[in-house]
Amino acid sequence: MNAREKRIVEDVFNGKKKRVLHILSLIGRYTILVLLALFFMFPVIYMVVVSFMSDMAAVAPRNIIPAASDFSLAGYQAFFARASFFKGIGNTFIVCILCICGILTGATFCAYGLTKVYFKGQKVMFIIILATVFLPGTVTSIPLFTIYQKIGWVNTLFPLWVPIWFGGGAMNIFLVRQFMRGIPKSLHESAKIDGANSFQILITIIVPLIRPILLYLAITTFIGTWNDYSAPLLYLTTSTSPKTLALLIFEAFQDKRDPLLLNGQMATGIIMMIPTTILFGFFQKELTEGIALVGLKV
Amino acid sequence: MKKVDPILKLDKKNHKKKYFKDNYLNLVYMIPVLAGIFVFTFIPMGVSLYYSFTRIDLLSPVQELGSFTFDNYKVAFGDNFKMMFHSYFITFRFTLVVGGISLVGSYIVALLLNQKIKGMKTFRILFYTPCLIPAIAGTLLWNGITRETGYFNLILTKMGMEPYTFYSDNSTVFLTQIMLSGFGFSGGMIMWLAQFKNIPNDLYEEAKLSGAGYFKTLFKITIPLSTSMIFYNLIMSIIGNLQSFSSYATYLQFGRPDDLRFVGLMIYETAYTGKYDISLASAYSWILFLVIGVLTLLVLKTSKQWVYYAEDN
Repeated sequence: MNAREKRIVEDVFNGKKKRVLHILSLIGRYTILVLLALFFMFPVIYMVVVSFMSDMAAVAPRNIIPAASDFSLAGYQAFFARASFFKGIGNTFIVCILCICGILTGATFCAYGLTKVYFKGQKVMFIIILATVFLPGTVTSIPLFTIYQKIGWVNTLFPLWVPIWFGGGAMNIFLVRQFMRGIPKSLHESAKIDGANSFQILITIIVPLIRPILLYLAITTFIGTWNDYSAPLLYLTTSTSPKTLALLIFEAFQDKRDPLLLNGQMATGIIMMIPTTILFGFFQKELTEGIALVGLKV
Repeated sequence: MKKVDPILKLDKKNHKKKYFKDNYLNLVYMIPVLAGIFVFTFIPMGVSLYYSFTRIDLLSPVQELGSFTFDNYKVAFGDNFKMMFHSYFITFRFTLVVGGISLVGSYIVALLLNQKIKGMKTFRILFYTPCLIPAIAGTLLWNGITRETGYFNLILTKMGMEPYTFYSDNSTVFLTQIMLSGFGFSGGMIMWLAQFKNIPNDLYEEAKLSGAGYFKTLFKITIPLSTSMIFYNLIMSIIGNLQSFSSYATYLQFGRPDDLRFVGLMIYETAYTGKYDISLASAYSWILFLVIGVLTLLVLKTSKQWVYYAEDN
C-alpha cells in the first residue's frame, strides 16, 4: 500500500470512528433523558395510580407494584360525593376569569403609560412599581385582612380578584412593557399625525400587536389562580363562604369527621389538573416563545 | 381699561392646555396601578407598622387601641427569641441550600432540554409534568408518600432497611426537603430555555470553529450570557423562599414539628391561630421585611460585577 492509499484508509477509519462516537453519544443522551423523564413523571404517575386504589391500599400500601385487588374507585367516589367540590370548581373558574381580565387590562394600561406616552415623573413611577416586585407580602397581608374585615369582604370572593384589577402585579406589567418597547415608535407617530388620540392608538394598534404576551399572561394567570390556596385560606374561613377548589382539598384533608384520604386527595388533584394540563399542552409553544420574545431584561 | 389682546389670551390658554396634555394627561393610564399600589400596598404597610407598635387584643370585647409601645419587639427579641431564631435558622438553611441546589439543578435540566435532537418537545412536556401539580395536591402527595406507612417506607422495608422518618423527626426534615426538591427542577425550564434562545448562534459557531468542546462553550459562553436570568431567579428565589408558607399542610399533618416552622408560617400562626396576636405578628413581619430588604440590596449591589445585560453591549 502506498502512502496515498494509507491516507485514504485512515480517513475512512476516522470517519467511521466519528460516526460510532456520535451514535454512542446519542444513545447516552437519550438514556439520560428517558431516565430523568421517568423520574419527573413519578409524582404524576403515583397520583394517577393511587387515585384508583382502595382506601386501605392508598394509606398503607402493601405492594410496590399495586395488585389488581387494590383497584377501587373509592377516591373518585369521595370526590363526587362532596357537593361542595362542584361549587368549588365554579367559584374557582369565576375567580380565574376575573383575574385574567383584570391582569390583561391593568397591565396593558400601565405598560402603555410607562412606554408609549409621556408624562412627568414617568421614571419615578417606574422605580416605585419596580420596588413592589421585591416587596415581601408579609407586611401587607395582616393589615389587608383587617381592612377587608372592616369592609365586609372576608368570606367573599372579592379579595381574590379585586386587587388584581389595580395594576395586576408588577411582573406582568414588566412583561407587557418589554413587549411594547419592541413596537417601533414610528407606528405611534404616524397614527398621531392621522389624528388619533393615545387611547385610540392603544386599542387599534398596540393591543393587536401584543397579542402573544397577552395570551401568555392569560394562561399563566389562569394556572396560578386555579392552583392557589394561600389567598383563599386567609379570606374564606367560615363554612358558609364560597370556596375555591384548592382550599376545599385542604379543608377536606383536615376534616376530622370525614377526612379525605390519600386516594380521594389524589383523585381530586388529578381532576384539578385537567384544565391546567390541557392549557399547557395546547399552548406550550406560545408559552415558551412568549417569554423568549421579551427576553426578560429587568 | 387695559386692552388684552384676545388672540394672545387664546394662545396662552391653548398653550396651557397643550402643556397639560403633553405632560400630565397621560397619567390617566397609570391611575389603576397607582390607586392599587396606594390602597393595597402603601396603606397596609403603614397600618402594619402601626400595629407593630401597639398591643391589640382582638379577643377582648372592648377594642382598645393602646398606646405606643415596644412590647412586641421586646417579646420578639426576648421571650420568643429562641423560637424566632430557630425559624430564621431553618428558613435560611432552606433558602440557601435548597434554593441554591434548585437553581443549579434547574439550569442543568434546562441545558439537557435544549438539545437539538428528535423528540425534545415531548421530553419537555414530560419533564414539566410535576410542575403542573397544584401546590396543595403536591404537598399532600409527598405527605402521603413519606409517612411511616407510606410508599417510600414500603420500598425501604421491602429492601430490608429500616423505615425512614422523613418529616416525622426533626433531624431528617432538612434532608427530606433537599431530596424532594429535585422534582421541582423542571420548573424553571421555560425561563431558562427562553434565555438560551436569546444567545446569538454565531457565538456558538465561532466557538465550534475554534475547536472548543462542550464544557468550554458552556462556561465561557452560555453561563456568562445567562447571568441576567440567573440574577433574576436568585433574587426571586431568596424573596420567595424566605417568606415561604407552602409547607403548611405538611406542618399540620406531621404534628407541627419545630423544623418545619418557617418564618412565614410562624407569622401566620401568630396572627390567625392561637391568640390571634396581630400586633406581635406585625412586628414579626416587619423584622422579616427588613431582613429580606437587606439581603436583596446586598445581592443588587454586588450584581453589577457579574451580571451581563444584552442591552448594555
